[in-house]
Amino acid sequence: MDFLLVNGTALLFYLFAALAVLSAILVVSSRNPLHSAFALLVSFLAVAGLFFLRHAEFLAVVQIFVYGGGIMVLFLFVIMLVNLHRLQDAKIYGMQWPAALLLAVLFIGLVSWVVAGVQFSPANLSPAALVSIDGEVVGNVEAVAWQLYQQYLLPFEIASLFLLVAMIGAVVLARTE
Amino acid sequence: MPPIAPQEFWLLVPEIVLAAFGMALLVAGSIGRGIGGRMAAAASLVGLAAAAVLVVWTQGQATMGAPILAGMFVLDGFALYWKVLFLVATALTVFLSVRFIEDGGYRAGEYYSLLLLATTGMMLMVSGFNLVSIWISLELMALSSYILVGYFKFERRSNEASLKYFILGALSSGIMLYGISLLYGATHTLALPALAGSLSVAVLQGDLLSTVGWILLAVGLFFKVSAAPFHVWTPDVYVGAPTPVTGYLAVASKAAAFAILVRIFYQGLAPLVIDWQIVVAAVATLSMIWGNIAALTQRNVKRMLAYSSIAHAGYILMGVLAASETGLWALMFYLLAYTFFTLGAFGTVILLERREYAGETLDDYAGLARRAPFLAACMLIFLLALTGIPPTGGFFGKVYLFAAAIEAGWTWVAVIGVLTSAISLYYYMAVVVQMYFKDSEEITPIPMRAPGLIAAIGFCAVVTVILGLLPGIFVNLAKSSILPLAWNLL
Repeated sequence: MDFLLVNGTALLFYLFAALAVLSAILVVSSRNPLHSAFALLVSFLAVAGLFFLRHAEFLAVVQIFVYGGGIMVLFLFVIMLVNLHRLQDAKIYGMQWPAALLLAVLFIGLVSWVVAGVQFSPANLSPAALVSIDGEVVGNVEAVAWQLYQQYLLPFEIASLFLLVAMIGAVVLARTE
Repeated sequence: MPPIAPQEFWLLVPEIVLAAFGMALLVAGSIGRGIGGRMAAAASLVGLAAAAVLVVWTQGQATMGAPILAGMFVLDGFALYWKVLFLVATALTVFLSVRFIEDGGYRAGEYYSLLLLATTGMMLMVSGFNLVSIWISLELMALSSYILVGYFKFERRSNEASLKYFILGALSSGIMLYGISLLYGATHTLALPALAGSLSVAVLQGDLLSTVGWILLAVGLFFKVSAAPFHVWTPDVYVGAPTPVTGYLAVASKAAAFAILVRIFYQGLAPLVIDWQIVVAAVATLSMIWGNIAALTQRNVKRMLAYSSIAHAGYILMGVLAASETGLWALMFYLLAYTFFTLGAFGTVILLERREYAGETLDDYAGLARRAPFLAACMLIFLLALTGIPPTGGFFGKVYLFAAAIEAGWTWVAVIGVLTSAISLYYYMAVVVQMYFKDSEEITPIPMRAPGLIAAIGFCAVVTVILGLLPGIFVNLAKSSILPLAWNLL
């Protein structure tokens, strides 16, 4: 019991992390598009769990709302509307998949080796930074809003232009003339 | 970080006006039967001109080189130079597009709207002073380009190009963003000056996290400038896209990516100069060799120009490699000249293009000197400039770049540059041979309708020659625009 209390956060981290990675692998390896979609949902939720563990509550809830909710529904609509049955017997990997796998493993190995060697200073691991504005303790949502509308106001506005372009693009390419 | 003062937003007015014109075109395009092609083109030219005037005006209002809007945005001579260049390149693209869109029978409103929004992204990007604002502006530009590439949606080639560009572009953006996140992990900042400060400490400690971070960031940037080995998308996308869009990608998009590559490398990653010079040298060499050798076997002129664009990315990277003031203005001068001769070459392809992709293969250029002497003469100037032969802007551009590399002690890269330029003579001159020394069965003169397009081609040819005869004026322009800048390297 003591072991669980002391290492609870770490255990939960490994649980969610493993879930996120395994379901992500399922997304690309499954032949049934519906299975892929549900594996993706699990992956999104596991990542939301990781955000909760880091005390980024706002991000976690948005992750569930936007990705787990909105994006998932869109995927399911597409699977429903587009006839995807032929995917069952189509080849889902190209010729180069062994090379791609090798490169991916090498890349993951390299990044893990580098990250394992980094000494993160304790201040950066503290969750207090996520809930304070100028030293005053507030909620996580307020802290995010403060950052977004103060320091990151310009990128925030550019992002709205970006979403407009995405919308125009979808209409332009999908409209029947 | 002090809060943002409301008057700081006035300094964004050129970008806001340009985006507003883009959105107005979108609305005009969806009312009733939509806006006519010529009308939309005229409106976008007005928008571009207004933005150009405002860019110069805001420059006088701002404190040069002082970051504003919470450190996200900066107005300096460097940004001014590029913004004017992007606006000129976009205006020329508009001239190139009018007849092409009309003949293709596609709606004009959305096309010009996306063109203006992509340019807005470039202008925001080159003034970006923080990796967050730079990345999101880059994405604004890229997303607009993906749609423009696929704009001719009833052509398979255009669909294929758009999909390839989108998937590979999204992958490269992801890699870049991952690199940025690692840099943030290593330095706790994304503002370029602070990043340089943190990295100079990290270098001393032999930090590996920031090394992986900047390499991934650089990979994303190399993809955008289509440098080998991150160039695989270029030939298919350039061939499949509507030709005016190809010209826009080859010129404005590439110039914007180079501008931001230089800003990030020179201002943010300055302490790592010894490390990134090695990477840039390797990428530049590979691009020059690969681009020029692959171009040798092409029979399609658009595809040949795509490989030539990869090779040119290699030459231009030499200016980055030099990591000096000379390298910087050489790069700026070269991209100025490159804008005119490359857009001119694509303009000529557009004028010759007919249904069934005629005008794209080398054989379509046979006997052009007799069928359209003016066009052949202009194309000759552009091809000479692409090779780097006087009296064109391409010659001095290359001389300055090679000189900058040699001055910085990278003689072997410059030698490869000269050798590969010699190789490029073969495939550029193949077009000249077709135009002037081959006869075609068809001898009827090519109809010279579309006066706007012909004027644009003529303008490009004249500017290319002026840049070759009086390079000093433009070099001084580039030099003066980097002067008030606090470059960490220089």
